[in-house]
Amino acid sequence: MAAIELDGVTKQFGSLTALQGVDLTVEEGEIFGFLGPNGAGKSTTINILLDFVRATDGSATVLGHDIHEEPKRIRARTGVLPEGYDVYDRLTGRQHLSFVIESKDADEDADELAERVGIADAIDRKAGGYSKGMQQRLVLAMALVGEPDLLILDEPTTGLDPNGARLMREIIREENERGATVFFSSHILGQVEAVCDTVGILQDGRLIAKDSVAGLREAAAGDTVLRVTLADGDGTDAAVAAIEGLDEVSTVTADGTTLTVGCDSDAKMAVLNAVEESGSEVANFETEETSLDEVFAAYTEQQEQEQAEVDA
Amino acid sequence: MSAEQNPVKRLLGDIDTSIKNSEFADWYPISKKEFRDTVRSPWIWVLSFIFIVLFALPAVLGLYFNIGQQFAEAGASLTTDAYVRFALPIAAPLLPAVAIVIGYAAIARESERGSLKILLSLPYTRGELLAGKFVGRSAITLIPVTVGLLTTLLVLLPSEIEIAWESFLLFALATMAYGVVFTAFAIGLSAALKTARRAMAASLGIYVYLQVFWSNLGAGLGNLLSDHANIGQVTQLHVELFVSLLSPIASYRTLVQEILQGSPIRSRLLLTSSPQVTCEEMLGGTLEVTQAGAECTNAALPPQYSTVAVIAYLLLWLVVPLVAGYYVFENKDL
Repeated sequence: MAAIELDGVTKQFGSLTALQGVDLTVEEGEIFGFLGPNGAGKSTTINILLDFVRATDGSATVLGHDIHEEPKRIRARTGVLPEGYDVYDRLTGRQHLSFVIESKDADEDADELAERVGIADAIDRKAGGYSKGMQQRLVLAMALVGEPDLLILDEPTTGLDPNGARLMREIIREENERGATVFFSSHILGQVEAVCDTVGILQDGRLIAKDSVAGLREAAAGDTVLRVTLADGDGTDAAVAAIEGLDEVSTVTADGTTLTVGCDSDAKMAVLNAVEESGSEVANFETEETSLDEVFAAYTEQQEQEQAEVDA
Repeated sequence: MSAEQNPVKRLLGDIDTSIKNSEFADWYPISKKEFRDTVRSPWIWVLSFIFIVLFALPAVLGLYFNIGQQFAEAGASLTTDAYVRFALPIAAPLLPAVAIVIGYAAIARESERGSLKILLSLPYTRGELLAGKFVGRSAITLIPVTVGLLTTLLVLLPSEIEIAWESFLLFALATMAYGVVFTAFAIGLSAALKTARRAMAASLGIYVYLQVFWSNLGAGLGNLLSDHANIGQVTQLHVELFVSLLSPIASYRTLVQEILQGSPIRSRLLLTSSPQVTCEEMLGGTLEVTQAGAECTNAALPPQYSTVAVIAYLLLWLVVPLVAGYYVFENKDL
């Protein structure tokens, strides 16, 4: 059984279309990264899954329950870190946790939860005095109450320092090892790449890609990125033009004297030769695996090109 | 440990556990959280303090300066009924304001700030959320009312003023219900409207309308119908009385008057522009003016003006806003 199943979900806010027929399956036990630029519709999708917002069309199930029919049963087995939430300023961290423990009929220790997210010494202070990062940790601890089968985390690293972000990743892995499915959204690719099994990319309300991290890399923009540093910047334009002329090359971007080239893995020499022939001297070059950033950029660009063609 | 030794704490603990285990009380943790959170708001304390002082002040004045003496019926000894007569015109306009301040932000503020997302991520339906908010915030409203009444009792117990327990307790009950009604009214608007500011403007606006203009609405409507639709004087008085009773403020006042007067007819007569016509032509009685005021004997009160009906009109202001608020809230995108 799939943990999350969206079937043609469409959401319109007035004349604005936030989601257009999104089909998506998240398997049980996987860590699913939900990627997309701000405004792509990630939060709307999550809000629909949690029944905060009702879809205009389509249907969805979470943990086998219909999102409209049985939202309460879904929430009983789901831990949520919502986006744009606010804590209760006048209540302490402990009161927040006790409330969630009681609400979920769970049998956990507030101190242990606070310990786990690193706010144990602040647990008896009012949450209004917490920093943004501490509030985020508190709400994460609240999401963990009752060993949920599904964790839905909306932009979980927002407001966290690098230590907090690392802790977040550790907890995501631990929860996944325990057996929980983790669904989290982000516009920061590094976060997703580091922990996810599967990634879906949402753009302009459409799911434009869904694959494993490795599969996505393969699918997009060849398989190698070549970074070429020129000795001086005068010939950059000529070098770019020369490289673009090669069949094996899919993308070229220039930043000062550095050229980033996406190309087939055996095209390295051809690229370097093209640079030399254009009159520039290569000071340095390195190859690297495609980062998700570039995958993302490639997908996004592809989408924009298609859109431009439609418009034209 | 201490919970086992302290019987009060143990009793509270038992009550807590049994409500928690009841299958109809899924909303209970929300009401507790709501109470804990709201009770820490300084504004509510300031307002409650003002209410308690004004509400209990007549008792203090009555005790030290014997001001209440003039309200006592001639020959009768001074009782707490004199206090209730003093407190009624204070509680009737002031308590709704306190209840509205306690209730208006209940849902709209959480929706604006985003904490509603945390609440609704937990296993609650929106209806349970509303129920929990209503119970928790109503408990807050009952604090100033209870403290005010207890203060009055404490002040009056050692004095010469006799405590008329029955009417005092009925007054306490009516006043608590009145506070809860306006809390529900504000929460209903808070569930239906988008922002806390709008919920406050709408609930205070309606309250001011009820307080300032509603009392003239019945009479005005009666006059209008009499001028343009040729209705008779009795019908006109029916319109006047019925419309007046639909206001929660008027229904609360007439219920308390009823407790003091010991007669629903006498307290309803106070709401009409012509007690004599009302008594003799509408109710078929005889108006006698005694030392205690006008008395309408041998009259029969139609069912729509009976005590039960007036209580129902008052409770409509609890039920209708909550149900309407629920329907809007249930179908809304957060």
